[in-house]
Amino acid sequence: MTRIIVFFFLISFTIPGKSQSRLSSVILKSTEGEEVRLSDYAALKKPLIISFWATYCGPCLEEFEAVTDLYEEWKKEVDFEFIAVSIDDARSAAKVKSMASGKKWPFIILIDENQDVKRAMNVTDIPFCFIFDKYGKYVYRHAGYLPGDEFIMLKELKKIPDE
Amino acid sequence: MNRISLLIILTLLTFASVKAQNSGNFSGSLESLSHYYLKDNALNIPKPDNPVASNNYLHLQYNNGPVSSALQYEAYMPPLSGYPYQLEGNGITFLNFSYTKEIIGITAGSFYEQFGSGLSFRAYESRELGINNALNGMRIIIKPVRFVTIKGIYGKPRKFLEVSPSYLRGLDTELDLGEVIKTSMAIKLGGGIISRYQSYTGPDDNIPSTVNAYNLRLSANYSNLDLETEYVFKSDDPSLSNIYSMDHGNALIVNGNYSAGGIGIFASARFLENMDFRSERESEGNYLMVNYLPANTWQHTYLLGNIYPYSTQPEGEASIQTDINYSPEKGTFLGGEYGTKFRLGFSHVRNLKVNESNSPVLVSFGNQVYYQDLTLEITRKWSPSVKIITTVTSLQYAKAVIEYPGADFIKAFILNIESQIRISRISSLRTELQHLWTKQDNGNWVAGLAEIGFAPHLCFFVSDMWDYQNEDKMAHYINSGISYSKDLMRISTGYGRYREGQICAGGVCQRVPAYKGFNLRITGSF
Repeated sequence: MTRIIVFFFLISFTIPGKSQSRLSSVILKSTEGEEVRLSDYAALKKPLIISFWATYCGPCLEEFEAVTDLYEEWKKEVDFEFIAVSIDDARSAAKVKSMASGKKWPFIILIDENQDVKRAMNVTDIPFCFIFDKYGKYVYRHAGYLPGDEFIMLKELKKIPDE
Repeated sequence: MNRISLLIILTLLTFASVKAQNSGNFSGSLESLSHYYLKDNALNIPKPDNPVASNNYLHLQYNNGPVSSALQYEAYMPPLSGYPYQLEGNGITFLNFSYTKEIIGITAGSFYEQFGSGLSFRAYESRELGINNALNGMRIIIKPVRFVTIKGIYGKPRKFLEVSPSYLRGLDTELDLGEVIKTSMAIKLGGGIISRYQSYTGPDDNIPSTVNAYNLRLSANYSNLDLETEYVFKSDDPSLSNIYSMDHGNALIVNGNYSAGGIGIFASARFLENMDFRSERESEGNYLMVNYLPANTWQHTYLLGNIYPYSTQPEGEASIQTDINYSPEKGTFLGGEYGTKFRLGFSHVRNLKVNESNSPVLVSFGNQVYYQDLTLEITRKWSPSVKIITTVTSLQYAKAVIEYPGADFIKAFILNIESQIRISRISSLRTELQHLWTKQDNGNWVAGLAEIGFAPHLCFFVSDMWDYQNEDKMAHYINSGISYSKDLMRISTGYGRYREGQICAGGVCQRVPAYKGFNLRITGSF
């Protein structure tokens, strides 16, 4: 059995394909329980900030508070979407919606309960921030959060050309 | 590394370097955590024969349209202190090939999965605890129509660096009723079965080779309200962990949410009876679990808040929890000029009541408190550059139930004051001052932490915990460290003394020994 899987594993590298978006097509859930994929947001044709977080991660909450304070200001400068992907598992996934609402976070919240998207996007530590251009290509990736990182996010967003 | 591992990794890297230029996406991540252990006279810890231990993970991923492959190589040389010794060694532990197109998804090889909330089945990875119970076999996911999802799985669970001789097979379906009856209310109905087969050749005819767990669940969302519930029934499963009890298991969980702008209320109740479910009936500890039973309590992140973490009692417990977040408008008395946020949490865990025939009653509260936690957290921004987070916690902890018989029932009160100060646009200072009061166990603790950050790369910290009323071995647990991150790489190193106790990840805890020494952690992805 293992040999068959190894065979298919190696064969997958020989399949012709075309260069494609880096946005994961693995399924996660919205706070309303709907199935969504990060690749669905490519249709917005906007730069995306995608940040992986959890309800028990202090630096993640610190990052979101900083972004929330600046969000409206940023929106006036750059047309983008901020997507917060929670990796909370069954212990705390049910708390995500009420926490986001209670903290007045203005961005899109998604839940990756068994961490399939986290693995697919090779996220090692949280918070982990990706910035994608409107074609789904990486522009910036950064692990961890220190106060001031949010200004670098904005700087990287502004570098993305309109066309 | 064995020859097949080496062959696969080298082939993959070669192909990837050529192919990823113009087709598909090749990516990966690396994590390495190493310790160097030292002799510690204060805690009477001798220097080990081999003072170096290291856990290492390399994950590689290839995606090309509907096709994807993943591989994970792990090396424990030997495993870090507190991890299971059975992990010592190295090899490819995860390898799969997946095809997903429109209505069908097929995975051959290793995969993670969960049914519902995981109360009956969850295959997952927790590197913090050395848990990985990925299945090795086959998974098929079919969506014959938009509102139906059917999952079928068959495989052998991972057992440390090998696979278990037992089999897991399961079927799970989810029906989107809201889509079917075209209502504004989102309603989902789900159900499934997970079955474990482990052959038994012993003399006891009552021990079954097959154990089944059935789950039924419902979730509904209407406007600001959400409700989700799941019930699980597990057939007789005599095992070492339940002292070969012939009783079946039951579990019920009900979660509710209310969310409106500025306020969010979460409430949960969970009841468990004989729900320890493992892929091998002789296994112990946190390993070879089939289902996932995290603690239904607040997750503390402060140093002293984690001295008494609750760990689920799967043989029987009743728990309730609520978590309320509230952000008043800025400019009001409560909100202040720069904003204030409140968070209040309460969790309470007891045993189950028993009926006349001495059997536990699933939906009931017994008279023995296992754990209670009341926490209030106030985050107030006093200026654009200063934020203070004040947290007070009152907790009760039945150490005799959670850790070992005969231990004290602990009542404690914890105060934590955290300050976050922005010195400049890129530099910041974070401090924590904490005190824990208790008359039981080893008495009071005091702790402090200071962290200086220079965004986006550099961070230094120093912390200390001191059990200053411990008459046996009063010790300072001083730690210091530095971390540097750039783009996708992060390197951190530290030196200090680490407390004996329970480390927890996702609500699953395990006891780890105290140690003194150096640590080095490197993570990166590409």
